[in-house]
Parts: sequence; C-alpha cells; structure tokens
Amino acid sequence: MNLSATATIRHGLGPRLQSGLLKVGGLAALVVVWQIVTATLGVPSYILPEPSQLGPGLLQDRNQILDGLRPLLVQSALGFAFGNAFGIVLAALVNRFATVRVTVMPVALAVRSIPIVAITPLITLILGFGLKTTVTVATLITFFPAFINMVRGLAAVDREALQLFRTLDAGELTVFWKLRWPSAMPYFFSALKVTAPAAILGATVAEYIASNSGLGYMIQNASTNFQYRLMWEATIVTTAAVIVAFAVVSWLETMLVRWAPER
Amino acid sequence: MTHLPSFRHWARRVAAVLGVLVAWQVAAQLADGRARAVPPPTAILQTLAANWDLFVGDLQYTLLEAAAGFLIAVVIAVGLALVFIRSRPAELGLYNIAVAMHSIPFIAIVPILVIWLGNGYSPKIAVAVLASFFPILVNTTRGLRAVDEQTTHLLRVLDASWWQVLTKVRWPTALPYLLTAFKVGAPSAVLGATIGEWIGSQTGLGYRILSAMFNFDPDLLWATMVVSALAALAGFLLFDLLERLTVGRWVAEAR
Repeated sequence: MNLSATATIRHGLGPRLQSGLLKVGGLAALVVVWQIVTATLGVPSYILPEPSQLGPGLLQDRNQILDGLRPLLVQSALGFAFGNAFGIVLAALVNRFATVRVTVMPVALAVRSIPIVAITPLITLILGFGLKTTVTVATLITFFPAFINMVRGLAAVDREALQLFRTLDAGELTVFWKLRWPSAMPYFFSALKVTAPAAILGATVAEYIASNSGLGYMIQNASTNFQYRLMWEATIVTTAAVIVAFAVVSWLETMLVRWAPER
Repeated sequence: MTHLPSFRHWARRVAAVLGVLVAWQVAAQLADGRARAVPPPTAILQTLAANWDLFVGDLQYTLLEAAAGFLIAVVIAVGLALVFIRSRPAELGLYNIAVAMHSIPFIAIVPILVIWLGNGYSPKIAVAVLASFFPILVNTTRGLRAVDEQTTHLLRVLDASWWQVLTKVRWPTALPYLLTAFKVGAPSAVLGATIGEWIGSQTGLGYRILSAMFNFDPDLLWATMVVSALAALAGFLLFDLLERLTVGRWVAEAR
C-alpha cells in the first residue's frame, strides 16, 4: 500500500521537493494543530500559549529577550571556541607524539562518557556562580567530541597518499597540513554538528542553576516569578538558537567539505 | 568468548582508574583543605557510608521515575519506528518533530512540565522520557531497516504479509539494535530523572545534588554524584548483560 502511495507522489512532484515539503509540513502541521487546539479550547496561555500570540509577545518583550540571548550566545560561543581549540591541539599532539597518546588516550576515553550536563552542579561548586562555570560547561561539552573525532580524523589518512608524501620527502608539517588536516575535516564537522547545539544546551543549563544572566537564568527566574509569557518566549528562543546552530554548521559542512564522500 | 574484553584490557583500565584515584587522594592531602570543593576520595567514601540510608531513600524515587520514563520512551519510540518503516511520508513528517523535541533543553522545559503535570513524579518521568526517547527511536528505526533486501523480496514473492515480514525478518534483525539502544537509553533515563529533580522537588538524587550545591556541602554533593553515576551504570550493565545472554553470540559473529 505504501509503495503505490510513494510512487504516485514521486510521479506527481519529484522526490526531493516532496520530501522537503513533508519535512517542513510536519512541523507546520504541528503549529497549526497547536493553534487550533489552544484557540478553540481556550487553553490558558500559561499552560500553552497560542502560536499566533507568540510573535506579537516576542516583539513586545524583544529587549528583555535580547538581553538574555546575548549572554547566552557569548557564553556558548566562548565555550565552543575553547573546546574546539583545546580538542584540536590535543588531538594534533596525540597524533604526533606516541608518549602523549599513551598517557592521554586512556584517561580521555574514560572521562568522555561522563555526561557534562549532569555534573554541572559539581562544576558550579568548584568554580562558583557566573561566567566561569557557564563557559566551562560549554567548553567541556564541546571538547570531548572535537578531540575524539579529530584523533580519528587525523589518523584516517589514505595509506598510499601518506607513502607518496614520505617518498617525496615531505616534512611532518607538510604531511599535517596538506594531508592529515583535510582528511580530518569530515570527522571534525560531524563533531561540530553535535557540539554546536550542545554548547548552547550546556550554557543554558549552567545559566539556569549557576548564573544571573542569559536565557537559562531568564527561564528559571520567569517561572519562579510567574511570568509565564516570558518563560515561554525564553524557552522557544533558546530552542530556536539550538536549531539554528545545527543548521548553520550543517550548511557550512556542505559548503566546505564537498569533496568528502558520504559517510 | 571472543567478544569478551581481554584480561589485559581490563587490567589496564582498572590500573588507570586506580592511578587517578591515588593521585587525587595525594593531591587532596597535599592541598590540606585549601581546595574544599574537591574532597579526597576517602572523605567521599566516608560520606557515602555514613549517609547510606539517605541515598537508598533518594534512589527509590529516582529509579522509579527513571524506570517509568524508560518504559514509556520504549513504547513510544518502538511504535513510532514501526510507523516510520511502514510509511515514508510519515517518517519525513514526524522525524523532524522528534528532532525538534530532542533539541529542546530538558532543563528549560522542566518549569513548563511542572505547570502541566504538577510537583509529583510526573514531570520527572516526562524528563526521563525526553532524555531516553531519541536514541531508542533512531536505533530501532535503523534496526528495522537493516534487513537483507533479498530476504524481504523473497517473502514478498511468497505473498507474505507486512506483519509476517515484520515478525519473521525485521524484528529478529532489529533486536541487537534495540538492545544497543536500551544500553544508551537506560542511563539517559536515570540522568533525565535526576535532572528533572533539580527543580521543584523535595526528593530524589537530583534534589539532593542541588541542595548540596546550594548549601556548599562538597562531601555530600560528590557522594550523591557517585550514587547517581552508579545508578546510571547499573542501567547500562543490566542491558549489557541481557545482550550477552540473548543476542550476544550471533551479534559477535556478524561483526
């Protein structure tokens, strides 16, 4: 039954347009159902606000929301940058020096399974309230996937290409920049697709329990003060930021690592 | 036997963990109380032993929420995966909603869940569902799809119904994937329940963690962290054992 249905659809619209429409359509349908349910049943807006009222509300509260969004984005971006920088440098060292590999890898593999969000209270206890904790949480969340994937990527070079480089007497630096770095890029981008959203999520959680700025703090503060509209807006803007971060990284991947085979 | 990690592998791991613990103990002794936020392992162990009854009480709440959340997540995820393999348009439409829900920071919606569901078990169970649902959905869908094309074609030729294909081919193929998903999902449910208890709660490990943080009680905070880590690990080991007992042998061969 589903075979014939798909076939007619393919015939009518073309598969790519069709799948794109369905992907957007699912979310659009959700919003429409949400609108109809909230409007017709008269659901109180603190329980579930009408989507059509979210736009005007956001416009009205835009200064407050922007005051929360700015610190959130700054803290996530700092953590994201630090995490990637540390991850890449350490992966390069692991790749280059066997002693570093032997000492660092067992510890890193043991530590990477620790869920960073869950240990946020511990980090708060050690570093105190505020920027240090939020940035550290975002850094740690970014670091492990970046590091692990870069270690894999830098090692995943084509054997024959490496032999060719060696035969042509290429130095370690040349091998690194011309061969290892490009081969690592697809691995790095698959880490980025995890870490870009995760850095924002981590910063939000840290703000929620250990900060007095940012959207995470705003959600917490608004809910304790019964400012439900603001709470909903902050939650939706945070979620949107996470989705945008993922979309931007995915787009960059298609632009920058075109040569990479589908993995 | 081949899929059991070798003795040397385990010995090296245990040695690494012990090394870290000993170094930690020595460093904490040398710091001599200047780094109060990081107590030595022996102090954490003492707190653990002294407050055992407290932790057992907390665990009852957290584990109940985690188990309920996990079961609900499994039912929804497996049901949705069956819909996905049945209908491609439904998959395209619903998958993005699942991804969007997965992108919502759990902690951010806890206040909303409290408005919806009150202060009892329900909001924590809901967070546990959200935390464990997505990996189970992805893996189950992948597993149900991982069938041998020729086998399904053959069954179609033999006029097998969708249901027969599902029970005779897809389901057995999907089982190892399902168990892998459970190994990821069960610890996630424990952590989800714990994080759900951070807010608007007076019970459970998550409540204990945040109150220890706000009261600056490092020993209690670290000890509770150890308990919740062990609870998450137990979730993993449960399904790891189940995997070894059931599908372990033929999975190892296939790999």
